[in-house]
Amino acid sequence: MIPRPKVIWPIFRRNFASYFAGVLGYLFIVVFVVAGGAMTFNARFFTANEPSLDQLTQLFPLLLLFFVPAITTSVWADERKTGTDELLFTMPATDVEILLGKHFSVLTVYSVALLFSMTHVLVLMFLGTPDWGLISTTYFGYWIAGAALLSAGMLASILTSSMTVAFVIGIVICGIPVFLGDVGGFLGFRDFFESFSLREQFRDFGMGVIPVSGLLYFLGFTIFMLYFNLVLMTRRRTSERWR
Amino acid sequence: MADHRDANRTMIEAVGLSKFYGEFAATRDVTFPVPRGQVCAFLGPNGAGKSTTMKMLTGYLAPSDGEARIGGFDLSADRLKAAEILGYLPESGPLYREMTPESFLKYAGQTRLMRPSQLAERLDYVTDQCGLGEVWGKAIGKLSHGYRQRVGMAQALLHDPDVLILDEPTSGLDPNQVHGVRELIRKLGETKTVLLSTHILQEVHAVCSRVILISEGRLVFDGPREELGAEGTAMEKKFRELTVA
Repeated sequence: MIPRPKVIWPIFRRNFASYFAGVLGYLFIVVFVVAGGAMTFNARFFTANEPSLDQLTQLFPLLLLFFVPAITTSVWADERKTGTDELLFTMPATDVEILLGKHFSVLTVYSVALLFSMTHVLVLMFLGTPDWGLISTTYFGYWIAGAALLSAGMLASILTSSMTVAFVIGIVICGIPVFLGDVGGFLGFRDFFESFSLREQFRDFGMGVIPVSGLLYFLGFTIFMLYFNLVLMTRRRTSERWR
Repeated sequence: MADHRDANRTMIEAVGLSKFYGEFAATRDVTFPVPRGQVCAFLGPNGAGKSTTMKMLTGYLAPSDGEARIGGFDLSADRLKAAEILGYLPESGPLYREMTPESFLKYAGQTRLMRPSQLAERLDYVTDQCGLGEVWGKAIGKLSHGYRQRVGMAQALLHDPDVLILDEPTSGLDPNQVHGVRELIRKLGETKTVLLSTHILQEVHAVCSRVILISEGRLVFDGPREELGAEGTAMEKKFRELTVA
């Protein structure tokens, strides 16, 4: 069955609105912008004396490592904890529609935070003349890398009904693609593993290039993780550990 | 397949439903049909398997063995079609606390693809029937348990379903609210099929014409309410006889 946008839309809207019903969504944005600002405008930035996002780009995967699980931790875990999953999964909506509605909602929260982080670019404009092509590809890289890790963060949330545990598992799962090169180095295959790491795939975007390999990497990673979510969603009906 | 609107149709059907968690059997070979227009009580002590059976009948849980059908639709193959004609009130009425009854019911209606005019009409109906007018714009998390239960009930009724599965709908309500919900169920039972889980034997007398009793995951009684005994001590005695091992 083809996913129906009219079913996905209310699921997306409810989930998205839940972030901004309290202070949580606003807090995400403030922390993301402030942390991003501290990473962008550090001592090296002023030493280099160039109006670019190079400093942030180097540290961005680490920022995502904490920010993404913070967004996704409640996606499934909170539904399980409060029992609202019982309402959701007995609605006439397919698992794919529910999954897409939820993924689009966390992606939109992340996109809004990313939009507010463009205040860094305003500062760059004040300090000099940024390369707009470079800024565009870099921000696209931030967005697509975040979208991929969000699907991994959702996977962590589906594994438990505790949001704290989901946050920790989220950091671990998101840390795998980020630190893959380091893991490979430990095993003696750094170069091989490094080429599959998020940091390596992300690098070109920060250099003004949108590589096809990078696009396929992030798209493939997102689809794989969403599929994994779907498998676990399907298994919940037979699992004894869903609650 | 016969139309689910067929007057004589079996609307809720459990066929050999079993649910195993490892070695533990939450339910074992539970079989019963509920025909259209019947209000059926689903009784049993705590942990007897009532909620598990209801979860399988709504498609939330997959049975380890057996089949669950709503309006003739097999939940394992046609869950969406079954869900369209089913209204479900889960135990303890889980709801999104940050939403208001208005936003929650609109969300439920839109997810069910109700037309705006139909949704507006049904919102008026459920608001009136469930007495939600006073709390329409308040956050659900700030409502009393009774009001939250009513919001859950409104959600179950919103799309005018043919079948209602209600897991302890009067739990936590004050006597006036209990009376109101029982009156509503009695009225709904004139046109709809209702499976009602409860611990309260007076409730069975008040609204149900048939009783299904399970104990330790097995069906131990299925018959007219009168067969379980007269109201009061006789019914309690029979309940204990059937459920105490």
